[in-house]
Amino acid sequence: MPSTQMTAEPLLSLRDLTVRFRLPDREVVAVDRVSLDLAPGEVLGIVGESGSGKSQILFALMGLLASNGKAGGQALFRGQDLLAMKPAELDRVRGVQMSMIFQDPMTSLNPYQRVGDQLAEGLRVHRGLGRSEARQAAVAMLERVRIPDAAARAMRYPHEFSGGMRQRVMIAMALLMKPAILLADEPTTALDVTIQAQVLDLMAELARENGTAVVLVTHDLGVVARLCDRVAVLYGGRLMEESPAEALFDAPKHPYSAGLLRATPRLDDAMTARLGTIPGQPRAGGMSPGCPFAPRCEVKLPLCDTTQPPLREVGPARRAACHLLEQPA
Amino acid sequence: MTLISAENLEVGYPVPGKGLFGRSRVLPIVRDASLSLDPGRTLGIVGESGCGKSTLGRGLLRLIEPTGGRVVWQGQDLANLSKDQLRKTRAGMQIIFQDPIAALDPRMTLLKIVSRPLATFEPGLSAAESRARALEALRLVGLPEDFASRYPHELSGGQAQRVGIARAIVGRPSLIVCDEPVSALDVSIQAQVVNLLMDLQERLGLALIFISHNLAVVRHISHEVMVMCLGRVVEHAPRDAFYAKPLHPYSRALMDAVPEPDPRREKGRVGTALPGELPSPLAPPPGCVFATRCPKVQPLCRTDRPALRDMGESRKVACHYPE
Repeated sequence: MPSTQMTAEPLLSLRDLTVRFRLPDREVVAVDRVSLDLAPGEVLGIVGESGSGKSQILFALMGLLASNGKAGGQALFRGQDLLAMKPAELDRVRGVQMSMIFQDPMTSLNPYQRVGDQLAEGLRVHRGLGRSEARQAAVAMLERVRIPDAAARAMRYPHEFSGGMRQRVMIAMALLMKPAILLADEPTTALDVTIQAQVLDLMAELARENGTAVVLVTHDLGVVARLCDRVAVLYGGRLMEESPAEALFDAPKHPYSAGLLRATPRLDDAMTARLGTIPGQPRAGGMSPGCPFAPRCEVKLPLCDTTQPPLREVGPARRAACHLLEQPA
Repeated sequence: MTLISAENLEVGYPVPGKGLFGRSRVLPIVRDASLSLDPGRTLGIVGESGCGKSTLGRGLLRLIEPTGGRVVWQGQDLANLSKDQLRKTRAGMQIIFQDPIAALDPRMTLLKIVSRPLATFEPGLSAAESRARALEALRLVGLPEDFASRYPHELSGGQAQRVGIARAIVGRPSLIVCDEPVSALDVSIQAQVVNLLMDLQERLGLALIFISHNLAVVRHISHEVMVMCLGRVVEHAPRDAFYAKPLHPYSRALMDAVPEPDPRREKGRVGTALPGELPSPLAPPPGCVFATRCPKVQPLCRTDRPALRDMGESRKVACHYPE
C-alpha cells in the first residue's frame, strides 16, 4: 500500500494494478503491481520510455486494453473498483466522470460526422439534452477551447481542422461532461512546439477552473514540468519513483529518474561535451526477478539482478524502489 | 575550403494544374535559401512542420531536383553534373532518416544493408574488402560484430538508427544530412545517437546538416543554427550567439515554447503560449512569413517581406524590427 500522505480522500486509487498480455508463445507483464493515488484536482504525470507500461495504465482504466490483455489488481474510482465493474456500470463512469484524450486526435474522431454533432452526441446520450440544446452546449465548449468561429466550425468535419485544433476538439469533447478525471495519453506529442504550448496552457486552465484531476502520460520531462503537481516514473512496468514534481527535478532519487534527466538536453544548461546517457535499450519488463532497470543501471548491486527492490518512503510524499537507497549513506 | 554551399536555392514539388488538362506546375516549398558549410562543422536547421527544413535537406543532395538557385559541392555546381558524375559525387554526401526501421530493407542482413552502397560508389572492391568495410562501419557505430548477420526486425529503434548511420558512413562521406534522426527515439537513446554523431564527426571529420524540430538537441550538436518558417530562412547565426539572444521574434517564440525540465520555471510560463495557427505552407502570407502570429507585428510586416540581412558577427535575420 502506498504511504503517500493525502489530505483529501483519493479520487482514484490504483492498488497493485497489473496488466498482462498473452502472446502465442509467452505472457508479457506490461504493468507490474503499480499502486498510485490521485487526489481531486491534482495533475499527476506518468513518465517513462517505450515499453514502460505508462499508456497501458490508462487503457486498463478505460477498459480499452487489446483483446489479449487483462488487468489485475484494483483501480478504485471513488472507492469502486473499475476493473470489477459490469460494462453497463463502467459506461456510467467512462466518458462521463472519466474521459480520455489520445496522442493522435485524428484517429479518435469520427471522420464522417460533423465535429459539432460528435460533441453533442455525448450530451444527448448521457445528459438527455435535446438536439438544439446539445448543439448550443457543444458550440459553447468549442469556444471555451478557443476554436475560432466555433459555430461555423462545429458544422465541419475533422479533416478540415489542423492538428492543434483537433486536439482542442478532443479536449472539448473530453471535458463536456465535466469529468472528475481527464486521462491524457501523450496529448501533445504529435504537435508542433508552439501549438503544444497552446494545448498545455489550455489543459492547465481547464483543469484549474473545473477542478478536473489529470493523469498525463508522456515521455517528455518538459511537459511534465509545465503541467504536473506530482510525477510517477515508470520503467519496465514497475513504478521506480513517485514524487512531487519540484522535488523530483531538483534531486531525483532513483538512478533511472536521474539518468532520464541527464539525457534530456536543455536550452539553458551549461553544455557538456556529450549528453548524459543511459546505456542499453529500454525493454518491456516483468521478465526478470530483479529490478527491471538493473540491466541498464550503472550503479547496480549484485542484489539488483535477483531481488526486486520494494517501494519505500524516501522523503516527504516521495517513494522510490531502489536497493541503493536502502544502503546506509 | 567550403564543402557545400547553396545560393538562393528554391525547392518545390509538382502539383496538378487546374482542370483535367491543366499543366502541372511546381509549387515552391523552400525559397531563396542560402548557406555554406565547412568540413567537420554542423549546421542545425530548425523549424515547425511545413517549414521546408527536410525539403531543403533533400534539395541540397539533389534527391529532389531544385527548381532554382544552385548548390556547389567542393567547388562544383551540382546541377552541371551528369547522372554518372552525380552518383560518384553522392558517395561524399549521405542522408539518414527519422524512421530508422522503415529506412532498412527488411529482407537483407545488416551486413548486406551496410555494404550495399559500396557496390555503387566503389564497384572495384572485392567481396572481402566490402565486407571488411561494412564490419568496420558497424563497429564505428557501436554495434557488436554478431549484428552483421541479423535482420532489421530484430533491432530496437536506436540500433536501427545506428545501422542507418553505418550505411551512411561506409562510403567515407564528407557530409551527412541528418533528417530528424532522433525524433522517433526514446530520450535515453536519443542522447546515445546524438553523442555517436558527435563522436563520428570528430573521428571522421564529417560535416553534418542536422534537421530537427528539437531546439535543445540542435543546441547540443550544432556549430551554427538556421531557423526556417514557411519555406524561408528567417535567422542564421552561430550557435552560442543564437541561443543567448535570438534576433527573430519567431526564433524567440520557438524557444519560449519549449517546455524545459524545470517545474519552477515552467509553472511561470503557463499562459504565455503564442496564439494563432501556422499558416498553410501552400499559401504563405504576402509579407513576413511570421506576420500573422508575431507579437511585435507592424503594418510594414504584413505587406513587405523582410530580406535576410547581415547583422554582423556572422548573424543574419529576416525581420524589419529584429530584437
